[in-house]
Amino acid sequence: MHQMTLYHTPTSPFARKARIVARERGLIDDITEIHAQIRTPQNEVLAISATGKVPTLSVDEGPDKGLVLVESGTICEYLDQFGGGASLAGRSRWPEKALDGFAHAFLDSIAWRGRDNRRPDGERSPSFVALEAERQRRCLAELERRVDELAAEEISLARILVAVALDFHLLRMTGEDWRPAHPKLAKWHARMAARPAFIDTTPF
Amino acid sequence: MHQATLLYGPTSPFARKARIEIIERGIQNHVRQVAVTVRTPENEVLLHSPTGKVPALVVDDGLNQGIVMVESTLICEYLDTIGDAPPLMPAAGPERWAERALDAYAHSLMDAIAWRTREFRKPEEFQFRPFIAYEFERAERCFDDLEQRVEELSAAEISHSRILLAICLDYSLFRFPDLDWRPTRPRLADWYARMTARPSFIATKP
Repeated sequence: MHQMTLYHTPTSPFARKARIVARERGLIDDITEIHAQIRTPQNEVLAISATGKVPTLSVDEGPDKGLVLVESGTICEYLDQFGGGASLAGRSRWPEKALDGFAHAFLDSIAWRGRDNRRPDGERSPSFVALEAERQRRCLAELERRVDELAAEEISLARILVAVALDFHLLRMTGEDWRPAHPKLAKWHARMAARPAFIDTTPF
Repeated sequence: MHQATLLYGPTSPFARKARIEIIERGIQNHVRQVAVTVRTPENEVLLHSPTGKVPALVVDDGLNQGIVMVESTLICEYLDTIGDAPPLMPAAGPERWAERALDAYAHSLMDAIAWRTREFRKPEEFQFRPFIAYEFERAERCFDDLEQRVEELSAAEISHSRILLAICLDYSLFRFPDLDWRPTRPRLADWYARMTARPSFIATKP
């Protein structure tokens, strides 16, 4: 019996975080995943949330029945309460949350620029692109410096989001492969991306 | 003695959430507040976080010394642990998840309004009309939804989500004064007027 419904799109990196958490926590059999037709009048999310965004989680059974959650950070912390294995909350609360916040800000920047890149040629703002490209350059350098910290725990909510962001950068910033200039980070990313939960949610 | 430093932009709605929480919980003496100018080389956040974003919180407190936090939801969660006043977030139970759900909804709406604002900051020839129209519709839909949910909003005096929702409504009027959402949502307009009359809102007006 499915107890929750997770609305996503195959390319949304924030939705991917939730889909990976559902798999890493062994919850996927309790969740129906729906590929939502966002940005169309048929968008299924609109029936349960005026935001119309993915990811959206709807709780269909149990004590929280009727709860609708948006925002990947909130959805992932909700999901992390369940499942059989170890929690993904990380060993120390505030450093873990700070890393998650950092990864979120980094990914936001990639998502903004990714959206801009897909616009018609004359409608991309060079100053905007330059500002975000610079932000991403700084964040990548910082992550390369902090690889030991990333590697200190096998997996956690924040580490999932860092790896998803790195992967999304490769997908959207074509021609800007960050890996050669960040070799330690590239190795860490390759280990994360080889996990079944990542392979199972590869964007298409 | 202060326990953390909040770096904020005077017009940032997400930073305003943290600044209002500090006043509502009466922890002004525990958190030093520094106004910064983002998107310049002098941006002070860059000394602490490569994201360069506001709000940013630098923790000066023993155990967590040196931790730098970005993202307002996380910062407000941490601010909730400072001082002796009761936290704004319910500790457990269905109330906690109902509040978190509403807070995430507010965050999602605030993002939509902020994205649209950012688009207007670009030179005019680079503003992307379909995106602006789409995000305008999203905000309108949420305002209609909130008008239907005013009783739910009024069920608690103040909380993280209610602070952020009132900020969303205020920021929309601040950035898009010609698109006043109030005439067609009278009950929401009343709730908004009560919230923004609080000293914490007046003290942090952009």
